[in-house]
Amino acid sequence: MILDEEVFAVVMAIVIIGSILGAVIYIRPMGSGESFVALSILNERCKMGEYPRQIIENSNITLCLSIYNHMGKPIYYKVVYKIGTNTTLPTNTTASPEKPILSWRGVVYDDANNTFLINVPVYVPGNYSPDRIALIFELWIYDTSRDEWVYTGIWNHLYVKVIRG
Amino acid sequence: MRRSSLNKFLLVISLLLMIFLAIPTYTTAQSIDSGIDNIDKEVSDVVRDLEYLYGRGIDVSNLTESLNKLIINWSRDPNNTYYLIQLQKIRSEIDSLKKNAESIYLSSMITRYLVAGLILSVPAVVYFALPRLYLFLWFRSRRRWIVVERRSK
Repeated sequence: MILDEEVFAVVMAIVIIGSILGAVIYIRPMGSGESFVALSILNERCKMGEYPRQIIENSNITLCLSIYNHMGKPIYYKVVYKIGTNTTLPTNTTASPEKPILSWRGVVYDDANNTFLINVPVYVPGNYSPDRIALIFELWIYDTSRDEWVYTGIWNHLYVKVIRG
Repeated sequence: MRRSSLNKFLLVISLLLMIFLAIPTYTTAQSIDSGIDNIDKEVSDVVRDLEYLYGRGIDVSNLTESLNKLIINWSRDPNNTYYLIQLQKIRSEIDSLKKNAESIYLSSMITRYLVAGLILSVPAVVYFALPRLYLFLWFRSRRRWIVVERRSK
């Protein structure tokens, strides 16, 4: 044989593995793989960093929220805004016990993100120390099979010092 | 005596005023809450349908974007019935897509498995075609060669 048998065997092995991988990737169902959502707090220019650190009490600050969806389907979400301290932060399983102040709702397509500016009031609730107040943003998703909002375990917080006027 | 009755009158008036002032505030707060709940109720069906259509391989990105804009505006003004009409328009688009969803899904599945079959048949094609192609190219590249008998020393 003019074509070397060993070379031919190697070529065939590569082609077989490649075709199997290609077929599997092609017929893989939509939305397979790890599904997740992400929430980011950005500054007023919708960039990371340069967050406000000192805020006058009862004033509003402008931030930017970004929600990314990789759940393999469009999702109906809400971001809930709360004010608390390091003792009342949410966890991966439970939302913060603080009272919701504002919320933003929206629908985001799979593998897409929604980025928008928000304006939030800042004050010191109860007897908390104004030196370290946490602005908490929790991500909730509407579970259409149970018809209720479900806390995703995804949250972000921003520590600020509130200056009393 | 006259003074005490005047005081009572003022007290009753102030109480009535407080009640009248309190009622609209309470009603507004209630209606905003119930309004947002109402949005959830109305939107959840549409989101469920979008999930279904997406699962059937139909591109609903434009409808999702329209719904997103609608929700953002509706959240700012939950009692505005204009948004219900807009939602109804999205619903009707979804309904028309749902009618063809199963046939679209079936045809996309057939196409998908046919393409996968074609990809899997590539090794067979390579097995039979590659040696022949190699031979063809080998001979073609040597077609101007002249075979000369080697002279023995």
